[in-house]
Amino acid sequence: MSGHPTDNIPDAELFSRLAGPKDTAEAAFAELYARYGGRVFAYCLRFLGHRDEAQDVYQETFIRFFESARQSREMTNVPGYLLKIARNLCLNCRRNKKQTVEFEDYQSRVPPPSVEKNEFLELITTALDMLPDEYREVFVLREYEGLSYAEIAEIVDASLSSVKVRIFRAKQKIRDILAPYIEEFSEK
Amino acid sequence: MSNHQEYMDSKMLHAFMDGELGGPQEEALFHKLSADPALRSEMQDHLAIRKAVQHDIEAFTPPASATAAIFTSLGFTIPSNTATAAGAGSSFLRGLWIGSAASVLAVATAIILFFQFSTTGDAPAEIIERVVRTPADPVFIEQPAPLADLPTAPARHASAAVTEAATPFDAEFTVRAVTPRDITLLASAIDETAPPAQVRTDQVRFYDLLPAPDGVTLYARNVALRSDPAPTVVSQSEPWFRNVNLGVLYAIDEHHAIGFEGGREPFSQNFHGIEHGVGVRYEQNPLAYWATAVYQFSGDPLLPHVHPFFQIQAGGALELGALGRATLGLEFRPFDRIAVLVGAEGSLLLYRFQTNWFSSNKLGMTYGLSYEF
Repeated sequence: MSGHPTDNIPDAELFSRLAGPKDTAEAAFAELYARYGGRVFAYCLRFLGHRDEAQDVYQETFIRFFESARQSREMTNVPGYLLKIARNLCLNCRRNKKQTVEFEDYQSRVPPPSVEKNEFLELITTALDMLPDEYREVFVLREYEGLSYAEIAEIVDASLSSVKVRIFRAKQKIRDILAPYIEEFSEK
Repeated sequence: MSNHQEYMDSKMLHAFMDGELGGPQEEALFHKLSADPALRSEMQDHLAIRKAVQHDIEAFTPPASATAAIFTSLGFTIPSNTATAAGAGSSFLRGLWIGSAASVLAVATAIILFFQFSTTGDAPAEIIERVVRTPADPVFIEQPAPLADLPTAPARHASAAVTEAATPFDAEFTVRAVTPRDITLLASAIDETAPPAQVRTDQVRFYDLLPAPDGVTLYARNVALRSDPAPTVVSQSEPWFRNVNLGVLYAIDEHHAIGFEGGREPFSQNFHGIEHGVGVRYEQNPLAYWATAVYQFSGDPLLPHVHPFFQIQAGGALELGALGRATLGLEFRPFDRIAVLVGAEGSLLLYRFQTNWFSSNKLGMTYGLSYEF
C-alpha cells in the first residue's frame, strides 16, 4: 500500500516548504498537522483542563505556527516548537483566566461529557486538575507527549534538575491522590 | 529503611521508567526492586497510570471543528480525514439536535396550545351580540342589522365595545316589547321543513367551556423499569405516584404529535470522584421529579384499532441531570377517544459529579391510558 506523498519527508523539510507556493505549503502543513495535531491538542486539553479553552489555544497554536513558518525560518524540532507555542498560549490563557476566575463558576472548567471514558482515566484527569500548573505541564509533557527530561526543560525554560524534581513530585502527587483506586482499577 | 533512602529509590525508579537512568544505576535499581515489595508496588502504580494515560483517546483527538477552523482560516482545503472525525462528532451533535428539536417542539406546542385556548376564549362577536340582546325587558329582534353595521371593535377591546354598544341600544335595532308566550307556540312557529343542520343543539354543553382543542390527548402511564446500575440503597420515600407519568400530546397530523410529559421516579446512581485529596464513591437512589418534551410517531394500524407508536423524549430530572427516554409500543383504541397503551421503554440519565459525567440507564415496560379530546 503506498502512503501519502509527504509521508516520508522529514519535519525540517516540510517546515521549509511552508514558506513556498500555496499548494506546496498546504500539503506540508496538512502533513505536519496530521503528525502533531493530536499531541498538541492533548497538551492543551490536559494542561488547561477545559475543552473550549483548549480548542481555542490549539487553533491559535497552528495558525501562529504557520505564520511563523512563512518567515522562512529553519526548524529542526517541529513538535518542540509547536509545543512551545502552545505552552505560551496556554500560560496566557491561564493568566487571563486567573483575572476573571472569581466571577466564573468552577464547574465551567470541566471537560465535556464522555460517558464512555475509562473511569480510572477520569480520575487521573481530575487529579491533574488539582496539580499546580508547573507540575501539571511537565507531567503532560512527559506522560502524554513522551518527551525526555531535556526536551521538557527546553520547552518550559527550566533547568534539567528542576524538571526532574517537578516530574517526580507530579507523579507522586497523582499516585497519592489515586492510591485508593489504583489497585481496584489495575486489576481490571 | 530511611525516608531519604525511600525518596532516592523512588527518584531512581522514576528515572528508570522515563528512560533517564544510566546502566550502573539500573543494576542497583533492579536489585532493590527484587528486595523491596513497596518499591515494586510503586512501580506497578505508575505503570497503571501510564497505561491509562496512553488510552486517553479523547485528549489525542482534536475536534473536527477545530481542524476545520484552522484550515479555513489559513485558506486551505479542510483535510478529507476530518470528515471521519466530524462524523464521529456528529453522533454527539445528533444527540444535541434531538434535544434541541424536542425543545423547539415543546415551545411550539406551548404556543399552539396558547393560541388554541385564546381563540376558544375570545369569541368576541358572539359575546357582544349576546350581551347586547339582554335588556331588562323581554324583546324580540324583528330585523337584525347586518353584521357589518354592528358596533364592533377589535377583539382585544371587546369589553369596551360592549359598554358602548349596550348604552345606545335602540339606535342599532328595531325592537318592540312582546308578551312572553307559551313555548309550544314558539315551537309551532319553527319551519319544520328547514334542514336540521340549521338547528344548533350543542350550544350549552358544559364541556364546550373547557379549553380542550381538537387533537389534544391526555395520558397517564406507569413504568416498570430495571436500572443499570442496579440500586443498592432504597429511595428516601415511597409515594403512591412514583413511576406514574402524566403527559399531554398535540397531534400535528395523523402520524406526528408533540407534547410534554412528567413524573417522579427513582434514579439509581453510582459515581465517584475525589474529595479532600481522597477518592470517594457514591451510591444513591434518589426519587426525583422529571419533565421532558415529547415527540410521538404513530403508525398505520397493524390490526383493527391497534396502532404501533414510537416516542422519544428529552428533558431533565430535577437536581440530577439530563434525561432522555424512548418508547416503542402499541396503542389499542377500542372506543372513539380512549386508548390503552403498552410498550417497551428505555431511559438514560446523564449527570455530572466534579469533572466527570456518569449515566444511569433503565429498560422495561410501560402501560397506561389515554384520552383524546
